[in-house]
Formats: sequence, C-alpha cells, structure tokens
Amino acid sequence: MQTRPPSNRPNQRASLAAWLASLLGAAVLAALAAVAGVWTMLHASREVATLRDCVLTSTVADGRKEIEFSVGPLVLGLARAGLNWVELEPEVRSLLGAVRGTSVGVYRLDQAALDRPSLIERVDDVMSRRGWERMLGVLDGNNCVLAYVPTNLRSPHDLRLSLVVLDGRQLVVASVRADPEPVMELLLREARQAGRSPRRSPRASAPAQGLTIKLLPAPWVRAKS
Amino acid sequence: MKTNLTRSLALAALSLALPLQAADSTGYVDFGKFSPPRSGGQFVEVNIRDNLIGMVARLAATQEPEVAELIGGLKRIRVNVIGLDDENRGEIGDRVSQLGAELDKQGWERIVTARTGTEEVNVFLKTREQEAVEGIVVTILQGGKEAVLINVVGDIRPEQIATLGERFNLEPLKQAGRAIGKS
Repeated sequence: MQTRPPSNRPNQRASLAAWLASLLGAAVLAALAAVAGVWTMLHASREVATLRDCVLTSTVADGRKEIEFSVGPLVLGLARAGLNWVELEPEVRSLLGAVRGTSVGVYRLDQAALDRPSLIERVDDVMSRRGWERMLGVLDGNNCVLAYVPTNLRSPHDLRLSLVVLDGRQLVVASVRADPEPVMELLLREARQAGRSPRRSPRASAPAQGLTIKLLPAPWVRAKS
Repeated sequence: MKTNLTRSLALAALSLALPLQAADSTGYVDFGKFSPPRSGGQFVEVNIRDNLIGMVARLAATQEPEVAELIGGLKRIRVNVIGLDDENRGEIGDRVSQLGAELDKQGWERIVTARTGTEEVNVFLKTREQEAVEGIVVTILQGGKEAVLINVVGDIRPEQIATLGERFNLEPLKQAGRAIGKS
C-alpha cells in the first residue's frame, strides 16, 4: 500500500513569503541607501562643514550657501566609466582617476572678513585638534588661502587635503581625497620635458647691475686649507 | 618685484636641500611667529614636514629613483614671505638681522652675502663635519617691501646637487653644484 507524501504547500507558502520579505527588505534598503546617497551628494562632508563653521565663527559673518556637494568613490567611478566615451587628454583622465572623493561648499558672506590673522589662528586650532596641520597659508589683500593635510599620513596613495579660499565675501571650502601618484607622474614628466627643452629668457642671462656678491669657500675646503 | 638674481638664489638655496639622507634636525631654525601685515600686504607661510616629503619620495621612487633618493631624507621645508609696511618694516628687519647674528654664533656658515642698494640676500649653511650640509637658511630683504625667510632641513650631499641640476636642467642647481664643487 502506497502512502502519499505530506503536502508541501505550507512549506512552499512559507518559503515564498520569506523570499518576498527578503525582496521587499532589499528594496527598502536600496531606497534608503539611494536617499542617503543623494542627501550626501547635496551636502558638505564633515571636514568641509567644520571648516565652514570655523571660518564663519571667526569672521562673525553670516554665510549664505550657494552650493554644496560631495562625491564619493561610487559616483566618481560611475563618472569615470561614463568619461571613457569622451575624448580627454591622457593627463586629464589620469588626474580624474586619481580622485577618490571630494566635497565642496561655496558660500556668500554678508560682510568681508576683517581680521584674517586671527581667522588663521582659530582655523589652525580647530584643525589641529582634529588631526590636521597647515601646510600652506597665503594672505594677499582680501584673498586668503589655507591648505591642511593630516598630521599622520597613513599611505602614500591616500592623500587628504582640506582647503579654505576666502576672497572678499566669497568663501570656498573643499576637501579632497586622492591618490597623488598620477599627479607625481605628471609633474615628473613635465619636469623631464622642461629639462630637455629649456626656455631661455633674455633677462635671465643679463648680468646683474650694481650687485655685490661674496661667495665664500665651502667650510670643508677651508678646514682642509 | 623680485629680481632674477634673487629668484635664482632662492631657488638655488631651496634646491640645495633636495639631496637627502635620514638625519636629525640640527639644521632646523625656528624663525618664530610672524603676523600678516595689517595693511593687507602679501603673507605666505609654507611648512612641509617629513611626512609629506617622505610620501613624495616614495611616489617618485618608481619613476625617478635619483630624485627619490635626493628628496628621501629631507626633513622640513619652511618658507615665510612677509610684506613690509611702515608698521612692521623695522621689526622684521631687526629680526632678520638678529637671526643672522644668531646663526653666526651657532656655527652656521654664511656662504653668500649679496647686497644692492635696497636688497640684501644671505645664505647660511649648517654642515656636519665635511660630509654633508644639515640645513640651509636663506634670508632676503627686498627693497623694504618684502622679507623672505627659507629654512630647509635635511642631510645634503653636495655631489648630488649638480646631478639633480643636470637631470632636470635646473640652472640654479647646476650653478650651486659647480660653486660648491669648485670651492
């Protein structure tokens, strides 16, 4: 006498429900990720926001946001894939390939920053507490440029740079993460090419007028004599 | 406006620092703190430490091993450019003079002194025995308009200076290398 196998319908319904629940969950997660991604793209990164707030506090000025955006590795990768269909100079393509992520904020201040030296001090202080040190500071009239790098550089292929550019009433704050190797290759290539074809300026070879130069022998030579 | 000679001397001094080995920081000079001129004149501060320099050297190693060796031991580069106005001209001039006197006392060798009517350039070297230069300081006072101070720290082998100059056809480096080689 043959027995019928037990009905599999409850099991089938359960597995189908689980499969639909997984699909729904994945769809919700994907939607949330997409929303988070878009939100991130339309806002500044934490470093940029910190720099912006520090500058605005130091200048006692209100800033109106003109644009903020952040682009991470995923979006940059998609952009690079798209640019494969566009004709670009190899150097430009190489430089674009070096960028891992960037965040930029552009703001309009309601008044020009008056006390730039103290602005630099405050930004230096805030950034040093966050593990950054200033590599470059330029002040010229109403223009101010500050560049910061992390105090501890983890890898030669992972350079982060934070910039502040203050021009009168316009403030630009940016943070970039990139592999500097392509930039280094480009610079070395340019240096080699410049070395092979030097440009001679007529002024460069003109002798200096009215100049007294005293060149002393090197100390080790003097020591020997 | 900088003269070509001033620019060449500054470049030569900077370029002298490029050949390197690991070293302590006896070639380091603390210029102190400078404030930007209140009149809005130019103010530039560059401070590059060994972390960034070492990264550059590692990146250059594959493409240009000679360049990587030259810059591999550099410890620090500091550049200050201060625009002078009526308020700070005297103070900055005094500080530069005091710096020169202090370096003379500390055993730095003043290898270049260049003076025009309103321009003064001094180059100092800190040497280690007869092998290497541990530090370079350049001070430039330009016509009462601008002061430039440069300090480069690292172990510098003079014979590498000319090599770098030849490699990239940098005239100031070639001149510096020849000058030190002849002396």
